[in-house]
Amino acid sequence: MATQVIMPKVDMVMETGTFVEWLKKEGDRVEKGEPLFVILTDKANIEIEAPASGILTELRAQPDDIIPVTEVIAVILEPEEVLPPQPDLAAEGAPTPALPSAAPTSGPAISEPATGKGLVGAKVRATPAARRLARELGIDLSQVSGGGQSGRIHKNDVETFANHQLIATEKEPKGPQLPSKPLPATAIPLPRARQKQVVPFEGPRKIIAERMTHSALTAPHITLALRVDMSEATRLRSQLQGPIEQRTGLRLSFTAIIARAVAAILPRHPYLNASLAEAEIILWEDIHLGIAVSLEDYLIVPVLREAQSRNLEQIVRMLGDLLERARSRRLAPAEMSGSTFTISNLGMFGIESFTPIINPPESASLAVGKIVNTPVSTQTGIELRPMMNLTLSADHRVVDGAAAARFLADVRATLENPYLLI
Amino acid sequence: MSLPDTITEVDTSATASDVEQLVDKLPRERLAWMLQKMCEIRYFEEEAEDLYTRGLVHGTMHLSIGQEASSVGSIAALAPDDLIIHHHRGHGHTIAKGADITLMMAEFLGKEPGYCRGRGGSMHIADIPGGNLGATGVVGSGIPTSVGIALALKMRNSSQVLLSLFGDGAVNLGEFHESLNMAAIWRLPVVFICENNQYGMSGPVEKMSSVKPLSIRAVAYGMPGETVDGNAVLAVYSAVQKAITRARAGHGPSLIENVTYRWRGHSKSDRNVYRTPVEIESWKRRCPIARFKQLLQDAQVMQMEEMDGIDQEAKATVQRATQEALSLPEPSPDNLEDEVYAP
Amino acid sequence: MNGDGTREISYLEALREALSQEMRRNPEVFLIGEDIGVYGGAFGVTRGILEEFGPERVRDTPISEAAIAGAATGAALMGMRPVMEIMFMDFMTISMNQLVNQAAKIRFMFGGKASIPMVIRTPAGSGTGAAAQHSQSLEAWFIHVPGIKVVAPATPSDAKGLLIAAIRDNNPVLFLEHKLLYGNKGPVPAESYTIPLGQAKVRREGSHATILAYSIMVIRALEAAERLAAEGIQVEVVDLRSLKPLDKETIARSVSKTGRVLIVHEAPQTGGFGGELAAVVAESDAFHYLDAPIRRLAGRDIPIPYNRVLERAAVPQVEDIVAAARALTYEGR
Repeated sequence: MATQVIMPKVDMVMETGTFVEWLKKEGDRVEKGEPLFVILTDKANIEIEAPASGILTELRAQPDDIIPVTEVIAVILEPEEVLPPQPDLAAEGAPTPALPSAAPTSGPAISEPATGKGLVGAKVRATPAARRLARELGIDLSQVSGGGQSGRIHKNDVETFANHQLIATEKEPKGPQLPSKPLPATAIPLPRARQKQVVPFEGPRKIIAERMTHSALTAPHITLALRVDMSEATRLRSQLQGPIEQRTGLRLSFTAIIARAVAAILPRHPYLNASLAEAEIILWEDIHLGIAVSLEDYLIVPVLREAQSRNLEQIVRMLGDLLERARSRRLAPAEMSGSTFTISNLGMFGIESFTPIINPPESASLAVGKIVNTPVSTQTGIELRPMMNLTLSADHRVVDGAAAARFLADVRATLENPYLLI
Repeated sequence: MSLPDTITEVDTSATASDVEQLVDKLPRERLAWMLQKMCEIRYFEEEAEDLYTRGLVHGTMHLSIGQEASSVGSIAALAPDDLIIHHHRGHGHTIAKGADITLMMAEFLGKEPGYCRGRGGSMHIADIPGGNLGATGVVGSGIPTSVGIALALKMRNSSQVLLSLFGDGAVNLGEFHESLNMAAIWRLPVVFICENNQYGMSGPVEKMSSVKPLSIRAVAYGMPGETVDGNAVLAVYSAVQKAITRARAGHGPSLIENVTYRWRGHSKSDRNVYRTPVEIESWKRRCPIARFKQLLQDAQVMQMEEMDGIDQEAKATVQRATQEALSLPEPSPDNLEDEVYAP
Repeated sequence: MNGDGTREISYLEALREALSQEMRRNPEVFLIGEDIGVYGGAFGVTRGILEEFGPERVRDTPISEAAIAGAATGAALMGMRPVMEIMFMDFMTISMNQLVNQAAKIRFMFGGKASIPMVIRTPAGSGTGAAAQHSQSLEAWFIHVPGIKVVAPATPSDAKGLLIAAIRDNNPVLFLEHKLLYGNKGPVPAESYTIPLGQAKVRREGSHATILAYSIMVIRALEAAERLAAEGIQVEVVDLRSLKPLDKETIARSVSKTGRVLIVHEAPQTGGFGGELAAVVAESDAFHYLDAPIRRLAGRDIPIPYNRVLERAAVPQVEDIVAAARALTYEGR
């Protein structure tokens, strides 16, 4: 039975060997264990022994050949054995080639540095906490000055920056550009009068001014009004006043009730909770209700986020918290923007009705007036009922009169029959 | 025969009469078993070598061809529940201790069903239920561990004995000294067996050890020491058996030196540049298997034909085991961390 | 006796109690080491134990750290539960081969078919004037060897609970006792109890910065925290207790809360465990809340000097921790 003579592996990492010379000739009789040929590895010349006894034949290796480990280089036949004519001995029963590479599928643990998405100001020196906060608030770190070593920005630096900025630099939805130039002041003559005080026209006031101008100039406003009989709502309020106060420590305001109603109704009127963005109208799933609040210097609109999934108690809490923090100037910029619909209430000032300017990029805004006991005609004659004016401004590019009217009517129906909120 | 507390005799070979007595006293089956094991070891080692040259074995291996009598003679003297601890050149010990050759081959090939689930390889085969407490690869590391094993046996009042096998290179380690001293002061039931195969890796015993024979070091620890012809399996058996009897009787450890020779290099990358082919040849002519066969034939215990049969059967066993082992599954890297800690 | 069933005993007495209770509970638990019998241990931990359990189970050995470690390894391999003592952690160098190449690896090398349930107790640390070769803290070496667990209790009650847990653990556990802690007293329950390995403890809550510490540095950090509180700085002190396995969750939670972390250990800074802890923090979710770089306060990269003043200066003291924590708290503020 023929024995194959192979290039043997003699070293742990050997993959090829260099053939040096045969120590026996073709046709020689060899004994098992006898030195048969010499190879060269990186260590030295090595004599390799014959693996069996017999006649050496089919010598294939030449001096200086570089031969892969396990390749057949000769055959030893038993005496009188004849090799069947086969074109390629190597294929027949050749020893299986090198090891399956045991590369593990899971390599050594690679520690990945924690990275956040969309690093703002990546070349700025800032701590991870500062970056995180900046990302949340949408603040460009390159605007922030850092108080740490070598100007490193720490979290409190970002907070300070945010507190001095009441408007976050959020991306404006695509739309008509804001007028880049204010109205040239020289075009309109100032009165000749003594100046009491000169107030710089900048910061929040300027920004509000720009927004209102933009809204007035680009969104054709239609305005609809109606009066709501708040008897049932008043009854509801007096029923729930006690429990709500007990549970939240806060008073139940009409604003909260109206907000709850609007949040429940808006989903039925999607175009009133929408934004016009260049080539498309986005109908928002979420209802982020802006509740306009007047502070001494100016107006801010804290936002009740996801009002659609809040019940009255939650709205009371959220509103209470937002308003309290708004008054003490502790609102984060993110909490004062991003509304999808705004409600303003000037009733506490005795205003019976007024026309709101829509807060861009919203498509509608609701103004609430004072509740006044008014004689109205009912089935049973003239009665005094607590009546409240609701005035809706809607962007006629997005909302037509009928849609606006349907919405407003829905609000009235709900406020006059609050049980519909269940 | 009384056993004095400290014997410091140094016997250079078991007497011929000891061996003759053993040939007569030992049951035939036992002698046949010893021959079988020696043949299995020889064929296992040759098979391992062949697998290596065919590129099927990862790493390296340390073959004990030529040392079969030392392994088999020592371990044959043990009772079935006695223990061994040994080292990287340990395939012979493992087979002599009754390992399943297929599982051994499987471990050797790094397979999951292998004795150590492929995690240990050639140098670290263990068969704990079989009393083989494992091979370890840092020269001499098993020796201090032997002290602990034997200590446990003593503390539990067990009648078991431990064979602690190591090579001539290990006797110069600090750990050797610390361990033999501790085993001696506490009279632990351990037999220290030094398989002197004449070379550490390339360092000849003559140059590396300050005194010869190695067993003379036993004097330093007040324990009996004996040097034996490690290639005469019954001589080894005789010496080790006496030491085991002493240990089992509570008389403490002994140091036995089996003088033998390894035919192959230290490991697969050994070029044998530190010894001559003449030397290797001269030892090959004193092959322990051939000598044992001759002895058995001369004592008319067995015919050569029967012994050839045992030899061929051993070869077939190894070949079968190899074929099966080659087909066994590889372990998965998915549970790599599994066996680092015990639950 | 305190109202809650604890009494004030010393760290050393707590260890002794743990050993005795476990030896009573399990006859296969035994002690092995130098001078632990009649002498009672170099630091007195095992005083009295020989009288109760006898010389078989309280085994004095020759000066043979390699054989001691081997003896413990082999006995554990056979299923006994040895508690070996290395008199000074510095001498662990002589045991290294048995601990690192045998004890730590036997289970894995043998495919999970063996286990080595042993404990290595060793006094570590400086402050007693014992100088360079008797004052080291080498825990980093062993944390780096898979197969060994490492614990370093700071208080008497932790010492007892962790030692009992270590003895019952089925793996080699290195148990670090800082020499200066032996005399500290604290409330310790009388009954036998365990503290799980791998569980840290927040010893003091705070909001301005976190201190991660173990062993004696916990005591110093708490002292520092007290002083800082008077200045209005509230630091949170986390006692790691178990270095391996490590309680990464508690670490991440604390650092996420405070945003600032100071790692304190006695061992020299370079290559010390603090580097690993810093990486653990940086890789955890706490990274996003870090408001200052991770700071380490560790031993100087020098052998421990003999002179008292120099010895003190070589490792973090309370005032060093105060200064470092204060600086960290104010970074960027």
